[in-house]
Amino acid sequence: MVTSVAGRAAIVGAHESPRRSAPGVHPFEIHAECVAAALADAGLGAEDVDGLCTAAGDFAEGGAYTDVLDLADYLGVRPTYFDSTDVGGGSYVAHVGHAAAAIASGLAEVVVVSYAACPRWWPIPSPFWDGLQWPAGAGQFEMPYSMTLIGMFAMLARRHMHVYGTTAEQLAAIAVACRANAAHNPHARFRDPLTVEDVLESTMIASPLHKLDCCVVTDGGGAVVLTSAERALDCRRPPVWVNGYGEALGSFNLADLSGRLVSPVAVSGPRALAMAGLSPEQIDVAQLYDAFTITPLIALEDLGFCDKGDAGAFVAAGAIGPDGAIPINTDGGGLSSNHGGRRGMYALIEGVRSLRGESAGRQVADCRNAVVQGLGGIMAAATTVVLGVEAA
Amino acid sequence: MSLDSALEPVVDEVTAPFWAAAAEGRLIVQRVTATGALQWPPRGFAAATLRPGVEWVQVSGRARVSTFSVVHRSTHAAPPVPYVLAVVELDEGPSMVTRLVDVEPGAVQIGMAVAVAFEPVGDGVALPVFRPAP
Repeated sequence: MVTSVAGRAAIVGAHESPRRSAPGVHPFEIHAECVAAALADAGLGAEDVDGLCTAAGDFAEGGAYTDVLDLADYLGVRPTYFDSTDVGGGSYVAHVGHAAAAIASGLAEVVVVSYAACPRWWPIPSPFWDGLQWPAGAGQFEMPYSMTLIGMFAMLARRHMHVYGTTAEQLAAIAVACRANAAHNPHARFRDPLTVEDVLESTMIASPLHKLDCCVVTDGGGAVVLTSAERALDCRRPPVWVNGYGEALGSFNLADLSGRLVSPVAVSGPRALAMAGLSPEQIDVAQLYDAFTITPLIALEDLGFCDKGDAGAFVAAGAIGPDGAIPINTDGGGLSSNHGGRRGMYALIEGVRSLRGESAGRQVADCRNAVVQGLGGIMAAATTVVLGVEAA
Repeated sequence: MSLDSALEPVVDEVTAPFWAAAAEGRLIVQRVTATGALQWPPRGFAAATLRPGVEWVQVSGRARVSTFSVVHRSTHAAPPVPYVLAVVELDEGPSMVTRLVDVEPGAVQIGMAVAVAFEPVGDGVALPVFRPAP
């Protein structure tokens, strides 16, 4: 019986599309580009693939509700293992954990996890892009208020500020740190230097979140390839080991805000770290889902990098900078590099790159263990993976 | 204000009593009969236990603001920006998402006392909103 995936599977190939704008390019074409490149990176071919994971049914992703079926057929693969778990932006991190378990149990041997989206040109609207739910079921008590996505995260941010004293300046410091990393990433959407004042003076979208507290919108995609411990050692690149994984769901409804100041990251994170046998202090870099500045702020607390309520001061003191206790989002994150509606795949790939010594932005010295934190909904779904240069 | 059809509540057999009461100017929430605990949003069963036995009870309509956001950019046709989204905590315990009305956005504060009002949004639907209470 498999009770842990630690050291049983590794990421052996990874590719992030350099695209940030792709007018007229179907997202499945970007999937194909990224999957082909990730397989080549691994020294494998399409013929080696027996598993495929994606979530491709949201706005501008090209898939309908049977998204992995749509994509598999388009790519011309016939997987005997597949997963299209959709818990929002962190779904691809879930796919890595699930693929590692499948590989460890012998259900699959070479699994591709892939993502792409083209929100900048896609013409078919989605009812979920702003508000996340139908005005039905529980949603009938939220959507009719002309709910907006940014408004929901904004209410979360304001509550955190009220309960813990977090300031707008501290939230802005997260955007500033990501932009400083993006300056080193030639593919980042925005690279110009940013100050806290710039963030606070940018347009207020939904108070207290300003435009520069919010992620960029880009077309693009990425893919990773996982295989077994045995096969990983024969691949082209040094394996990046899946040493820990945890996932947790919290409250989807926004009314339960008290449950959200402590997010399900507080469940998924410790589970992943415990599986890897590591404490937060032993993590060298954290790629934290950054749709809005409030999300990595809460993730820092719930992963145990600082105490609950202290992330504002932690960030303001420079803890997430290149010389700090826990550098984050070293490629510039969703706040400056790329975000197609979901950021989980990009955070995952930068985690892999960091451990290979090939960060797209600012490389952390002696990087051996990384946390990748995926999120979905309004911090309602948490997917954490711990990656390492050595098998746990 | 008239709600975009994409935002109109889809009333079902569980939620119909809520909207009927709202049309009469009454705010009701569910109570789990066995425990007396109030639950929101409503289901046809007691959440977490999956056991039957829920009933509707009228609440006072008084609440306090737990958090809010002044929306300055919206994809929705109505209401015009700026408008105020909020989560309010009813005096009786449960929290609800809502909009605040009859208040200057700059005057909204966490902790302020509010009371329910009902806003007609078309098709006979009365939407509970909250305004500052004396």
